[in-house]
Amino acid sequence: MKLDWEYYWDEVKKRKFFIFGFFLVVLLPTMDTWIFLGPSVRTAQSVGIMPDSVTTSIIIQKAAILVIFAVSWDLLSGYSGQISFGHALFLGMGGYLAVMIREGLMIGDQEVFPGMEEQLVDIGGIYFDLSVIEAIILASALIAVFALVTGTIILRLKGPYFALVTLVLPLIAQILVTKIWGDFTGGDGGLQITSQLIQKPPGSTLEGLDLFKLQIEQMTTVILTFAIVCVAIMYLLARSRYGLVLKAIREDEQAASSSGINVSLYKVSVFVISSFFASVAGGLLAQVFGSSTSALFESERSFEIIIFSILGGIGTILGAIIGTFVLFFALSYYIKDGFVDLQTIEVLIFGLLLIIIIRYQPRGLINADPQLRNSLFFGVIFSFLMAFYDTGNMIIASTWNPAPILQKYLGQGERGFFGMDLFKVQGRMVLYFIVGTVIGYYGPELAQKIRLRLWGVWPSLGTFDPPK
Amino acid sequence: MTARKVLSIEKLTKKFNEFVAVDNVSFDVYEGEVLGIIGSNGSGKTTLFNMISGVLEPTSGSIFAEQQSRFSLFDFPSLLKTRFSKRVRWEDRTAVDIGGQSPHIVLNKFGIARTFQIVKPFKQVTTLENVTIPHIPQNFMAKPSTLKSRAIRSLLSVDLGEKQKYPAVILPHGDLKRLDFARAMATNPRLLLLDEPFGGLSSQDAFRVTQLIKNANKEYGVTIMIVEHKLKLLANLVTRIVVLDHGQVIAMGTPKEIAKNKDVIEAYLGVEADHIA
Ligand SMILES: Nc1ncnc2c1ncn2[C@@H]1O[C@H](COP(=O)(O)OP(=O)(O)O)[C@@H](O)[C@H]1O
Ligand SMILES: [Mg+2]
Repeated sequence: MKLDWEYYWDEVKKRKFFIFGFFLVVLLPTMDTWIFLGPSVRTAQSVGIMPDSVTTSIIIQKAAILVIFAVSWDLLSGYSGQISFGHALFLGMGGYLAVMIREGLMIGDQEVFPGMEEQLVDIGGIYFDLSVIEAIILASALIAVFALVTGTIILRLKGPYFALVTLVLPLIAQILVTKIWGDFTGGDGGLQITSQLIQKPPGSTLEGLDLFKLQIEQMTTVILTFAIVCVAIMYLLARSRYGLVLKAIREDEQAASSSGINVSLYKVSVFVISSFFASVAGGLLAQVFGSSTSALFESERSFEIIIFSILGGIGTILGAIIGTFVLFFALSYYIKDGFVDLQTIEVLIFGLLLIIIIRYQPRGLINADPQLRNSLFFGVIFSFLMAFYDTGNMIIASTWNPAPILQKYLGQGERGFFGMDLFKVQGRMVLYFIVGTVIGYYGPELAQKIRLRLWGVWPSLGTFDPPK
Repeated sequence: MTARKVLSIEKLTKKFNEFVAVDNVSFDVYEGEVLGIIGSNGSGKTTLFNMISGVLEPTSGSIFAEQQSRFSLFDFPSLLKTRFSKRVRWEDRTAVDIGGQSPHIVLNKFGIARTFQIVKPFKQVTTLENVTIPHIPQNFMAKPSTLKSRAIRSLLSVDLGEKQKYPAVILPHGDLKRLDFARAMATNPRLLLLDEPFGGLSSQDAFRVTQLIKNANKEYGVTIMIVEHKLKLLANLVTRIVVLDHGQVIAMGTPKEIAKNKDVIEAYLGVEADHIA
């Protein structure tokens, strides 16, 4: 297949600031050992502006898995327009089935399925158990067959009925695994994983924290590889004529059908493909968590990625990737660590963001107008600079600390405003980000207005002519 | 020369609950002709097209057409359906009842394409992609360059070449009508059903569409059925006219004959007949 590199380069160039901001937020914390960037990154980590590299690695692992999941949702719902509210069904099924296939299945004392043999391989210094990956892929293939059968039935449903059914299915699955099939799904505790994906290299002398760090890093590499391969496949599918047909179905089923497109075949096929990749994500997520629990089926999982994809830009794949990475990162480090007391703050913030985006930028951040994109970038830079300044680690010492003033007005103690940790660095980062974004958005316009006003005033004094 | 049939409608009826939208309609369509179907609003013209193109299932009666290409494995449900549908002999050929088949089967296997009275563009994709889509089923394995050049040729044929990068949603109505025509023609049909192709068009745009229809008929040999409620526009385009009223065929013949027909004048034409006669 011939790739249109010029097109991709154009897409990148159009969003250069955005991508740079992405890089700053997501990848910079992992570069603490680099020669050039290392010292600055370590400074930032020491004051809490950036998470340390282990935390970052773990966040990246989860984010990369969620990216696979979000992109699989976008392919189904964003492209073919079959909105699924319960994509977590496949996430959970993938998680459970992969663990079952790898570890074997016992009901009572009876062995139903023996499990797979350990298969240690060494690729580029990463020592891992190939059978875990085989189990994940096998499980996903089986789930794809399941999706073929269910899809054939439920994709006949028109309009909101399909969405409703998808909403209900994971709830049923959750009850099944916790209550009814508890014997072999481990009930509320879930299925524990005993065989690790990443193993200790045979001759290694590493112990304790160092070994842990190495394994985390290797796990990140494996998961990122998975994510890149899966997302690349889905991206190429979406950009191919197959993706175009899906868009046609989304835009108008009747016209698509009258253009010779076998609508139900395409719908079922995209359902199958999407479920396959969602199951892969589930299998990987179980590896990261160390177990498969019914939490994988939770509707929060489904809604999370819907919000990420919509914020990033629905029906673009790229939007789902950027949206998931950036928002999940912000959520995991800056928001949750910054505002620990509000467990539901993410729902609140994302709910608000979603409303704003749908109202003003319905095509998402990736296709937002340049003014907004650039101001978000400005917000990122601004928040980093301000946090540095604030924590006194830049050349200029901290001369202005908002903490006492805010404490005075918003409440006593460290936690004021609704119990948020406003004065933790992460919390302040969020506020600075918001302030920076607003400045970036309205600043230039405001400056222009002020200038005009001044030009307007001065000539009337008869002392000044504005430049032509 | 005896004309070859391409479509034969027999005692076709469509009921919506108790309401009879198309009532016991029978007529034949012959290869290479341009057949007009006229009737006042609500006389069942669109419903008739919907049944032929597979959007609606007939309540009773048959629509016979000749199969053009073979079924593949993916067409499984339709394949099963054709096994049990009625067949008739047209001299040396066999025609199958296509009533109730899905639209893509009617199009791909029987070569019957249609346009819509209310245009249905793929709004959020570009004009070029709009005409690429109907090319895809027949060229799924073709090289990207082949597909693109075919799509561009389709677009150029309706004078939309310079708008190829626009999303369809911003095109004016006249362009959308031509885009819809290009979409239908891109599927390389044998029989083309045009549902009010002049609806809402300025006389200039209507003239362009007339040229397109004539061209499709003469150059590509496509048999055409046109639904229109203004007889005037059809007069020098069609060879034959079928008049529908309340779902029934009340007259059939050349435009001149129709203009003189008493029933037709009474039911619907009124003053307009003067323009032709
Ligand atoms: N899906 C439907 N359900 C119920 N009634 C319908 C439906 N489609 C069309 N009709 C009715 O059938 C009659 C014929 O409609 P139509 O074929 O659209 O007329 P025309 O195209 O000749 O103007 C109208 O009275 C219309 O209300
Ligand atoms: Mg009509």
